[in-house]
Amino acid sequence: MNESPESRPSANKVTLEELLRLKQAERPSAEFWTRFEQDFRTKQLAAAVEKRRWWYVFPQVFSGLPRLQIPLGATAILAVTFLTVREYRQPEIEPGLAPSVPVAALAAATAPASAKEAMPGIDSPVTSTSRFVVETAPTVASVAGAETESETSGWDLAALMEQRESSFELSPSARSIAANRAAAAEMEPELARFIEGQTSTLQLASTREPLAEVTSPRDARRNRLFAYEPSNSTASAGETMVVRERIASRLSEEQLYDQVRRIGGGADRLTLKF
Amino acid sequence: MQAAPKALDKTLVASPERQQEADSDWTLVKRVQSGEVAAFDDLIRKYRERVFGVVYNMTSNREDAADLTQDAFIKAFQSINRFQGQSSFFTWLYRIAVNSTLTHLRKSRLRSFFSFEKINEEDKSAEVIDKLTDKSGVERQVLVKELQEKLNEAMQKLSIKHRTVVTLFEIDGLSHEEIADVVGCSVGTVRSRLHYAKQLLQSELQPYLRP
Repeated sequence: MNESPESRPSANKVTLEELLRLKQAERPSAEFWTRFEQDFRTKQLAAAVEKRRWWYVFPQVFSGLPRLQIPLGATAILAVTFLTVREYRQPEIEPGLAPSVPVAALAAATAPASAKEAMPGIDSPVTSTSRFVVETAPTVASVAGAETESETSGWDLAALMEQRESSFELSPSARSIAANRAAAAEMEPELARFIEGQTSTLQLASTREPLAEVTSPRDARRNRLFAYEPSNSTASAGETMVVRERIASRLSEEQLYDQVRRIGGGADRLTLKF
Repeated sequence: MQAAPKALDKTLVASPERQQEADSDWTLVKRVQSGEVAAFDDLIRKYRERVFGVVYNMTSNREDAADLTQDAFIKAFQSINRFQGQSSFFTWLYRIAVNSTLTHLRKSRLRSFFSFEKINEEDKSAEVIDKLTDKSGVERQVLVKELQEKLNEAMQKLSIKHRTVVTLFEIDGLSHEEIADVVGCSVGTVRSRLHYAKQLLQSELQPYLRP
């Protein structure tokens, strides 16, 4: 073909659609289809014999799920709501843990005689109830002896709490521990006292905030200055207080000046010292 | 003949011929689903040339096209129990074939090897070749071969997506809606891709085209 495509007259040219139609004419021969069918049969048999992977089951299982989208979604939302409400609801006091005697009754039981006279609504039945509670509950307080009894006679908060604790139903293990401690107190008073001391130390240690115990050098300096006692023994307590107040105000002024000195200003700059 | 399910009416089988074709396909599919495996052979015989044509024009390699067509039919056979008639069978089959071909093309993008079928010079193709040359014999054959190569080169310069759309529309004769259903995009996207692809093909095949 000597004629170049560009040099052809426009009448001898075709449209793009016509040109693409040539692609339709690219067809395989009959032999090709015979071979195609043979190959296909072989592949089909191989595919039938081949064991399917386990994950091929998933599309079949989940193929029906689109129809259940709305019911499943609603169920999921309900389940999540139920679980959330169940997880974060307000804790309710179980009946077993609730005090068997009202607080007013306890207060009446532990109040001094003068206070009882001032409370006209509370009379003897309440007192008998509180006595019953104290008698039936074998607590540490009941075995602690005369000292404890004398302490509970007043408006002491600890005594009130102790009385309140006595009104709770104790667990078997708590009862067993209390009995052991009572026995130890009888047989080995020193050991019992030592255990009491250890327990109270532990309780104190657990309630103390560790960071609160850390003092900064500045606090130490302040405390030293506040602990200043004038050497002149003739100075009165009022004068001492005045001196301390001055020191305190001076301290705050010093801090202020110290902070101001850190900030330096120039004509065109601002410096900050750390 | 058992009618295709309602869902099929909503799909893109607008013309009566397509509707009739979809109904007959659905009957065959129901037979296959009920255990009559031989009915699938009818579906293969009916669609193998069209499916092969699409895959061949996308790959420009007859061996790859044959393998991919066979794979598409095997996949269709394995999944035919899941086919519920939401679309026409041929759309579903085309989708399988096109997706397999796209996966194949993405995997073997770097090793492109072309092997062509011979152009059958029948009525329409002969007309086109006659317009392009008045030669006969060996010279005509050389022209046809050269034309075929140029055409395939131009097609291969298109991206896979654009090539798919051109193949399905210009060569296989699917409508925009059908192509959108097969490819899984909007009709607007199909039109846009087709427009862009034609522009590129025209610039590539300018010497053969009428201004």
